[in-house]
Amino acid sequence: MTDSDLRLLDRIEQLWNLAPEKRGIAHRDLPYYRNPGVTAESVLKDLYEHFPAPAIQSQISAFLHKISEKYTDGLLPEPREMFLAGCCLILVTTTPGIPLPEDLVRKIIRSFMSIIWYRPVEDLITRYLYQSDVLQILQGGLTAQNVTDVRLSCLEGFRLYRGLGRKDPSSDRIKRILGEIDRSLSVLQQDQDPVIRDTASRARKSLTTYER
Amino acid sequence: MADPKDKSLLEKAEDAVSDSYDEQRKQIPPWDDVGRVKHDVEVGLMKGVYGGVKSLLSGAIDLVRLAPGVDPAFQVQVAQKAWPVAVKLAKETYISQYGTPAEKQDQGERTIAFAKEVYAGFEKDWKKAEGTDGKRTELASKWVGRVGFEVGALFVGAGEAKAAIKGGEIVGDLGKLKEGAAILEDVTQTCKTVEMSSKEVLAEIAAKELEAARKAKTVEIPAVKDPSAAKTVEMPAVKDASTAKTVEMPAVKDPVTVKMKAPAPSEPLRAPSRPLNAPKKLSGGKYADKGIGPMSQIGQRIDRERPVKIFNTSELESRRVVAHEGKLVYAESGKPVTTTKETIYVMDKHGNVYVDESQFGSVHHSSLAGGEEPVAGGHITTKEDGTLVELTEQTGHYGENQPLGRSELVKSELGSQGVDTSATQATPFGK
Repeated sequence: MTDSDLRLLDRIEQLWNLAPEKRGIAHRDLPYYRNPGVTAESVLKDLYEHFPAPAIQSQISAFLHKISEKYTDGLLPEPREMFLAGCCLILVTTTPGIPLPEDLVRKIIRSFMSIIWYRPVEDLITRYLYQSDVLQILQGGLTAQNVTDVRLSCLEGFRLYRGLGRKDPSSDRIKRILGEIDRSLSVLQQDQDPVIRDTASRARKSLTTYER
Repeated sequence: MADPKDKSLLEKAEDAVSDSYDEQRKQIPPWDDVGRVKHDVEVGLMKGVYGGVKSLLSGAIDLVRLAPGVDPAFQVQVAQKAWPVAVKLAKETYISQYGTPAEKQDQGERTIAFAKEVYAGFEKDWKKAEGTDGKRTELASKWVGRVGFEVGALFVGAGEAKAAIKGGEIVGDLGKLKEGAAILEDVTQTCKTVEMSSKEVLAEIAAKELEAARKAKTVEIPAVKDPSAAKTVEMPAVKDASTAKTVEMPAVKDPVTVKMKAPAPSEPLRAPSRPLNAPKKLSGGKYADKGIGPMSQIGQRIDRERPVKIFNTSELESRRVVAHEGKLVYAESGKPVTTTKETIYVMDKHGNVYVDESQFGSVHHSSLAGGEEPVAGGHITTKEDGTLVELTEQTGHYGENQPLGRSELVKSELGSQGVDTSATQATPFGK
């Protein structure tokens, strides 16, 4: 990570993290706390005043890529990384936001734990993808990953991201992917891990609402 | 009297707690009748509930352990149920003796909240039986029987405790034994009976003393550092304005004249739509049968493995929202609730609603549920002035356990509390 990257992330932290002594009783012991009184628009405006637009885009993309890789490797981001990842996703999904490469969007959807990150991820899906893309990404997380967190995230994603994304021009692709997902889910319903089994069953129920 | 040296750690802890209650009572200014009565009621509640939990635990374990012919599997089953209660008691005992001031304060608040909740259940049954003497007698007999069992188990051991339940017939009667041990599954119900007498007596005393305090025309007021800042005291509006009048306070060490201002006769007497310091609803359990079930397994795993914060009572209180002039405001600060895309809410079984900003990885719906099973959770949108715009049912932690339509329930509850919901949208999950 370069000095410039650090400066950008430091600046975000400086603008958005509320000092513990200024927080309410409920948040004093949190390592970081995003100040709800500071808007994404004001942070973005400040960043554009201090950094060139291409640098902001590339640095935020690089940081989110790094977090995605951590999740994919089965690691948990540090508290500061969690805080900054949240800030970056909010900046990316605000209006007009910051454009991200579609490949990175797919990585984020697959790897960022859905029950934690569903809110900004929904915005990413709505902006960038078709419904069938979302199903395919989640399906990829079930089969290509050996990391429990990623599999769980994708399984829960079937419920949380259900119906999100642009409507596909044809339903053929969705039908085909749903068939593949169904096969993967029946395998996962026999998994040794009870949480995987439970979440796979729930995912299967969620998918019944799709038109086939 | 037993030598203090001979006392067990638990007994010492209990003594220390009792002493601390006395100390706290001494700190209440002599003129604060209301504060003193409130303290007495709360301490009475806590002692009653604590005694109940402790006695049912020891009683049930003894019953199973000592009764002949009990299936070992059943003993294990009871032990499994008793263990978390025992651990909880041990932790609380430790906090009461060695905890930090903040932990002790939190413990006090939690215990009071629990005790009040327990009483609410009793109160509900009692009220339900109103007007039918037979029902109330039946209810009272049941309680007396239970108290007998618990006291026996606590002070004289399992033998007498067993005798207290149907004259000892319980020995060897597995069915009855199971019935006794099943008390562990219903701690709240049992505690209810234990604190009945103290609560009723205390509540009656409290009501009388409060009434007396309100009627008192002469009140001793202690000296204040800045007399100019405390010369006029606004008293709450009373129904009968003629009984309230301006009175001169008697001289005290450092005399300060305090005037009680009665409302002008022409001034309409109206209650605020809902005071900002509206007390947290602890009784009624209005939605007790509407819990959304356990958190999803994935949610439980996330909370276990990551630093997700679960708010304690005082932290939750700072996030509780109430109605004020049709808007949604924080009960503690009176500030209007303003939201972002990441703002979440949870409603508990009493209809209390809590709002906070989701902090990825550390504050989620489970934080606002405070370790309890909520009735609803989702995202909330308001305008800058606190006007309620939208309630959703989107939650990662509780998943599809939340039945569809809970946002409508929350909307209705907030409406009944005085929030203007005429333009509020309740959005079911997935819509």
